[in-house]
Amino acid sequence: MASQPIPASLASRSLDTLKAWLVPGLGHLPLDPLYRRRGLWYGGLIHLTFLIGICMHGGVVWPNWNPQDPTFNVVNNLTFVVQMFAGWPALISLGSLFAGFAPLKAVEPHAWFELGSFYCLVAGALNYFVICNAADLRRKKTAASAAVKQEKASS
Amino acid sequence: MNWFGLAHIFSLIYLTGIVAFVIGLQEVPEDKSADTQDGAAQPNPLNSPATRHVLGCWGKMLGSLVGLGLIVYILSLFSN
Repeated sequence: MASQPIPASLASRSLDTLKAWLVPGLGHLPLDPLYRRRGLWYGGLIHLTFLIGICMHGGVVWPNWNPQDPTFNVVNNLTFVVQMFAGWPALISLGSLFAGFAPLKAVEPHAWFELGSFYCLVAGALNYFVICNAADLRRKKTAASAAVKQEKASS
Repeated sequence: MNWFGLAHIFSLIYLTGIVAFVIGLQEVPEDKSADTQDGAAQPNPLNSPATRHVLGCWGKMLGSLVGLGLIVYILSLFSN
């Protein structure tokens, strides 16, 4: 199946990156069939990993951002940032925390919370790499299609 | 049954597995032989360069972590 040429404007690239962040694996879908298949695997695994984390009562927790506060811990802040790379599952988890929606929110006193949150952390970190990979592949594809177009025009 | 301990062992295997899958697969270039011509024999996906690379990454990561755990355990035997 022939794939469509990818527009190279900054706005479209930003939109693609935003979509790739919001839905893990989506950034690979406009690419060639092989990478599309890989994108589906990436997306499926990232969603599954985050779901396992939620099932273990883990999730995204809003950290303390005030360095003067005694409860401030920079590890928690970095964990939060990396977890947020997981896209919509992380947003749902954070929203559930603020809304007090018990089935999806993180339960900090629970014994499995740390392990579950680590699953969410890994899911976020993996989605970061998947977003970068999709952007890299898109850039290569755009450059290749531009080279072909230039070659056609010159001949 | 110690479910908490079992969950940690499962996590070690599962999390290293998906990290090896996602990061390892990105290191393997596009395999054009996957889209073979008509009539040609289909390549075995279980023996493709991508599969071997991912399994290698997984083995190295799991081996390193288990080895590290073993070293920490042996050192802990000498602590007071």
